[in-house]
Amino acid sequence: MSATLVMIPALNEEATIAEVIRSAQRWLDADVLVIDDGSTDHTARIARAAGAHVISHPFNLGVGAAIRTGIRFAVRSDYDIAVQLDADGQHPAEFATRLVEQVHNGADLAVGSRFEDGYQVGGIRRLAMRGLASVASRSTGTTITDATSGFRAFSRKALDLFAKVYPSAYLSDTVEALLMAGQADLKVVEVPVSMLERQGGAPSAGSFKSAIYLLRLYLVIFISPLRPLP
Amino acid sequence: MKLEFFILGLAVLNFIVVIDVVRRRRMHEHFAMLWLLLGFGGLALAMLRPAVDRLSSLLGITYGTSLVFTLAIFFLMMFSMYLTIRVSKLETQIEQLAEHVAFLESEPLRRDRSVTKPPDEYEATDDDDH
Repeated sequence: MSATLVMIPALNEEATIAEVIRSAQRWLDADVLVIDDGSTDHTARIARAAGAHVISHPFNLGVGAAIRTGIRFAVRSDYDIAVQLDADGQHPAEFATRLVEQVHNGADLAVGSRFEDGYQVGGIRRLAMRGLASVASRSTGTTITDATSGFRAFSRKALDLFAKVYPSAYLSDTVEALLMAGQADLKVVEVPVSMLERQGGAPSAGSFKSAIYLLRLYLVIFISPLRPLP
Repeated sequence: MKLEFFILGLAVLNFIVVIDVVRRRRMHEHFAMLWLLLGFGGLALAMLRPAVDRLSSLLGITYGTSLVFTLAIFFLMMFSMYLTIRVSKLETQIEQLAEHVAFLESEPLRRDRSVTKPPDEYEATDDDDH
């Protein structure tokens, strides 16, 4: 039996965190780690009460950094598989079992895609997401439709790689990680999942900020083939 | 024409150096974007000298060069202002980290509630670049 860790990055998600932890416990035979990314509400206490192990960042570092903390925790504590779940209830834990199954079948990075289930986004955002998906597909050698999905499972090999360097900037933690996985010849698979409407909390960024980070991401994409592997 | 090639050379050099340090992960992409912006901006000014001259006469500046220097100094001032702000934020965060580590290493005097909350004076931003 391989040891599995569920990593839930959370920033002020006291309304939804307990339910997310409970459904993870219900569907997965795994330990649950909540990385509290500098929440100012009762997220950490509620998560602890719900039976999760909680690590709190002393101040807000961003989702990517929270995942990096989770990955380093997983490696230090010798887990074989780690699954990343959103704290706002967008990622149904029942689909996490599919991601874990893929890792059991030899995948190093299993990504849950929202597009297979009628997920709609408008205009420019859709264009940007298509562009990123095609870059990610080329890099990983598999068809990626949803490069920015944060619903993922990592094998031990992937955890070891990302424990060294993990991109922490907004948007980058997902797309850049895929590029790194491709470069390191990890086996990446995409799994269709349905996602729920977010149950609470606010969307992570406005459109101006998204545009800046998208530009930044293009710089990353340009540089990534020149980068030495960590 | 010679000037244009000289500036073009400088811009290319700037580009190569920036890309190389980012590649080695010695500079974050966030800052690299500003340096690249500077390079492209300078290049544009060098290539569009008639436009610069026209703009400066519109502003009542006799020499186009003066306008370019003014813009350059302004950019550098803004950039160092921005760096000062970043450094201040880093200072605050290091203080908090030191405090946090100190707490972790101390024995709790009463019961340990161990719910970490950022101090009130620190305003938690959403995910900023690092």
